[in-house]
Amino acid sequence: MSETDVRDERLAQVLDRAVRDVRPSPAPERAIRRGGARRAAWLATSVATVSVFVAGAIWAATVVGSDERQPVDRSAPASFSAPEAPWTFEYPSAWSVATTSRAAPDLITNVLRTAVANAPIPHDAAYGPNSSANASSLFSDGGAVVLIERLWTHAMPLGGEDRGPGPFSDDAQNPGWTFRERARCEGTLCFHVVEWFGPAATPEERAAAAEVADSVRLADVDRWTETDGVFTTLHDEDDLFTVTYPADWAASDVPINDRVCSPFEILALATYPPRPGGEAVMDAQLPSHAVEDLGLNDILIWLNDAGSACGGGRRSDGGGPERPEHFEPSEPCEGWTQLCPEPTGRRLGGTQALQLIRGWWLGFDDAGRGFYVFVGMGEEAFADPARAQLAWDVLDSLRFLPR
Amino acid sequence: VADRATFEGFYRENLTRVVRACALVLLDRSVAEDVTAEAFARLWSRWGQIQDDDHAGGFVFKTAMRLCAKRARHREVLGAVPEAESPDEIARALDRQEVIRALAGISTRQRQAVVLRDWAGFGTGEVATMLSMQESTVRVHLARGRAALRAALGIQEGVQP
Repeated sequence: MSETDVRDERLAQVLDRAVRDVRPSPAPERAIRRGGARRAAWLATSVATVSVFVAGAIWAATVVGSDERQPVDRSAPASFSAPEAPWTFEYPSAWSVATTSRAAPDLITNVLRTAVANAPIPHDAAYGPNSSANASSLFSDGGAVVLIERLWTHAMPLGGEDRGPGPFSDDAQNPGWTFRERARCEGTLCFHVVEWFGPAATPEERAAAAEVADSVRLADVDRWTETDGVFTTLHDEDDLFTVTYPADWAASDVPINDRVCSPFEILALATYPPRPGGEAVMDAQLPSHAVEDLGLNDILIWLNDAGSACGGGRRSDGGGPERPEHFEPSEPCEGWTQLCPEPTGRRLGGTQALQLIRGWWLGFDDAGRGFYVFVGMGEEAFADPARAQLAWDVLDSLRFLPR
Repeated sequence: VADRATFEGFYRENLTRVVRACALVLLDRSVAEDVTAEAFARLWSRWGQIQDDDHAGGFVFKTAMRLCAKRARHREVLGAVPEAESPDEIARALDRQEVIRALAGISTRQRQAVVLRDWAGFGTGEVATMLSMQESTVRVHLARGRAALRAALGIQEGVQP
């Protein structure tokens, strides 16, 4: 019998003593702020100022009456994803975002809220439609605010069904301000999204806020991304890896080839949205639709765990060449013991369009697991060394944990 | 139809246990509470498909551990110890501080393996499922985590057949 087959009672007692007095308790409201350098500098200045005086009074003095509206730039939306918030959404990158947690689990009623606004978001003031009469002083008359909220009672989010957005209503506490609400549910888990506008909010700001509201989704526990607007990092707790790629690339949320369970797909990433499905097998089990959609300047990376997911559970096996220090155009050689240079790749057979695609199949071991990866490039991407290098840089960013 | 009363009963019975497990993994009580709230919210969203308390327990611990891993990537060990107000509390605080320091010295995965196996009492197979690992990997994390904690805390092996 292995030592790990039985519980270490002594260790259990020691650990138990360390947390014996830990009981769920209401926690004070906390604000977690996110944003760019400008907002960070603004925040630092505010914090320094506030530290000298009474926080609330000085906050009001610095903000009241100001108009620090931040522009709408739809050309470069940012993706919100944060460990402290259970939702994701897209928003204009210059806008402010703050998550406020009042979610201690044993409170009778509480709220977890992420606010998105075209103005700095106050961290120590209560606000909201039909709430405090301070909207214009906090956000200016041109405020465009989206509130994403989960309401709780007895630890359970208030349930319901998808509804809305409803019609705009007047804010009884803030003359000239209007708001509308919608509920979004996944299973019995719901959250509310509120669009809230000051009287001077422009149509463009209103449209941008509506797009934010439309884009709100429940975040995945097993797989999530974070981005700085230039690069996105994807974390996968199910398949135990992370990968970093240009923020304008797209990772599929679903397997694009679900016909093969050994090996099994763990990542489909491309310069375009990789389309699932297609023929069962086309040149070593390639995902047909995604390959067919690959354009001249596109890149597709399709990563498989060499183990098996047949029958439900996932098993990982090694047995291929060791992962190289840096990936490059190559393929397994010497009886699958190493990767050898293959600078030009292989041309896929089939239609004329497919013949314009360069492809590489690489196999490698890392963290005691084996992997197969297909890298496909259009001719123009292949001919542009900087663009082609992106594919190998993305592979270099892969980090695996043992399964 | 999801049974709200049954969920509430399960929640009340298991809330503290999940919070404590998360506190041991994250070494941060406040974040542990947030993670626990989210794990129970996710459980509620699946409540209609839950078969029994064991199923619910496995789901909520698995979800909580994933959320812990998510948080652990974004922040670091705090290990704040409350102000001690009496000799007993001082002793308890010192004891706790020592344990927290020892836990901070091992990896998140090792903490998860030790907490789930030794503190929560799940089998290695269940722990493997919760952490998406093979049992052999869990055993490695468990053995290394235990060895490091025992050495740091000066305790003998407490394994009982």
